[in-house]
Amino acid sequence: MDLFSNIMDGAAVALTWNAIFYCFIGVSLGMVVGVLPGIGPLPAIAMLLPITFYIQPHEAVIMLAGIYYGGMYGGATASILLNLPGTPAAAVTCLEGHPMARNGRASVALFTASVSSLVGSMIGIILVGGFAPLLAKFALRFGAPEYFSLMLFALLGAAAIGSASFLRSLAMVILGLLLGIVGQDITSGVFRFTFGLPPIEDGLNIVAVAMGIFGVSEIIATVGIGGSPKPERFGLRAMLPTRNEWRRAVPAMGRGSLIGAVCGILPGAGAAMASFVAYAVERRVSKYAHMFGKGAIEGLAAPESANNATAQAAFIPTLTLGVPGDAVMAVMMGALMIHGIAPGPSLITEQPTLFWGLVVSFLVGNVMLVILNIPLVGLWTRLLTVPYQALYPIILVLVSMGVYSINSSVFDIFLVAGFGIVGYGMSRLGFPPAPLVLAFILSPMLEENFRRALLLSRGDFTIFVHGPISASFLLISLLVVLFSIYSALRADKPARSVL
Amino acid sequence: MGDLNRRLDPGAVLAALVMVAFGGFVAWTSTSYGLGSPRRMGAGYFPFLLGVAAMIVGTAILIFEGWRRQPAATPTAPAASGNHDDGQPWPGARWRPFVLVPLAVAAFGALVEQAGLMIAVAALIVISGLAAPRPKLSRLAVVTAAAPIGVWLIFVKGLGLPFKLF
Repeated sequence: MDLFSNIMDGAAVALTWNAIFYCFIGVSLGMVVGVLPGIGPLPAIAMLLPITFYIQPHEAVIMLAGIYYGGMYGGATASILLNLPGTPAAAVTCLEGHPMARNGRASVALFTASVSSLVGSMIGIILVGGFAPLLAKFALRFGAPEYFSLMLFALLGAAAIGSASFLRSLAMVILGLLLGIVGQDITSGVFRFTFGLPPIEDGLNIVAVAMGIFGVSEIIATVGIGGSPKPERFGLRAMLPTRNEWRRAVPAMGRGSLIGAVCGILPGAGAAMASFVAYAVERRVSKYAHMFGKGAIEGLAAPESANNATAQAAFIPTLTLGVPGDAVMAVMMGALMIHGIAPGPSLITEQPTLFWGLVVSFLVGNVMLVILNIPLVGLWTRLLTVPYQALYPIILVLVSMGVYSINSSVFDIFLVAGFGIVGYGMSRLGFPPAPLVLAFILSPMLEENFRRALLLSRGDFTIFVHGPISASFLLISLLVVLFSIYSALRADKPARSVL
Repeated sequence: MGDLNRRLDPGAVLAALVMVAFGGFVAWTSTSYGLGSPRRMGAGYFPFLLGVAAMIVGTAILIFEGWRRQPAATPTAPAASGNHDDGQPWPGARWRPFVLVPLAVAAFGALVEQAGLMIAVAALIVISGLAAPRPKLSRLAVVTAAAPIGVWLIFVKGLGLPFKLF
């Protein structure tokens, strides 16, 4: 394997002026949505999607990916300076980052967060470049039973890991699978659950569904809160951490990155989970455990490394297996398919320049983010003084236009509105939206592989446990379910300690 | 069972019942698509399984989560009052976002091909802007006037997206 020549090929793609420009647009927008609470990377992707129809597929992918990992950097800034997590993954950053800022060490905290993010990203990128091709080669041997079991594991994992109850997440998985069925059945040509509506004969639009459930419902929930925060003024001198702080932060970055990388590869885990786990681990292993909550630097470094490592590593299952791990990746995969790129084990060998170009663009984008982040801190925090009341109608305009441009379909806009109501209702009742979106995109593949496997085995269900790979996925899935039931029963007992 | 601490959770019960009814509907509809056999599945086989699964999960939610231990661990909505915007909230501050935000998006959809992009954008902004607890009409007017121009400059002039303007 000549890694070097691959990277050179990738550099030839990622270091053109066009690619650098779109990477810049992606990471800057990611930064902005990361800073602002109430807008995640999903609406940002929907906003930029129509633009991507007019550029090369690899440039489109580079830009959309930039939004995702750029959001991780932006989230840290708002958390540290204002105690306002712009993204769920940044909520943990508030715990130590904001106390540090209050102790007059705001710039140290910002600097540490940037360095940690960079370290986490680099480890994630190395993993993508080194591990993804191997995984893809391995996945080439996957047949229908293996894919079915893998996707079942991904869905059950996503249901088990979230913060909501396992049953409710499972309900969302089933609902998502059902929504994914709507449209014409590829095998028999039968129209399923289309109710005679021509616009949904090809299925529901993933971007419209995700935008309603995440974007619009989030806005409904945030509008009522009102008001915008008054940023406090922090002196931004003395950026460099002390020698002692370095000594504490660097091992924490390593541990955080590893946790993040694992969470990125595991389906359903996601960045928020990675930062929570990394923080919990630091609190266990740190010699300064008594300092936690008062501005312990390792409690800032570890989760920041973790969520960035996750953001990069999350591309591994999406690109090599065609199985996205979280909702953002599901929409990213939808976007790739709009561009005629089918993620799967053969992607790296068939489109090496796309894959390696993306890997190199991760490096470019992360360097840009560090440069954007530190000197422009004042600008990012001033963003928060833009009142949300003026902002959200504009976000709605951009989202509606983005969704409409995908298929020039008015029906898709109505879908956004409808799923906005549904999504808001669900989150009020404690039903998490992320498993639904994940299940939605996996549904057609799950059904196809299920059918194909049983066709091969002439209707014998034991085909799923014949092969060792498929059997292991099913075994892990079973363990996941048993563990969820066990912890739900335990949680039912009174006086349960938190975290 | 005789636990006095437990009380009915109407939200969970409602969701569970909807889930069971929905699953039943899906399973019943699926039979008309042709179930086939495991060896040669019809179009209805997979949705039928999912419909049954939905009914099972719905029932499980009803049994295990329909009653909960403590009075409501509902996500506490942050108080909408007390910050620097002036005046009292308009009436219906609780339900206005829920109705007006989706309505604004739907209005954009209804207008974008009939009346054109400019009017659709303006309508979306006015309707959704009124969803705020205390809409600032002056600011809303400025955004309503400026947004269609900005959208036209960026998307139609700049990127050349084919939108019908009026």
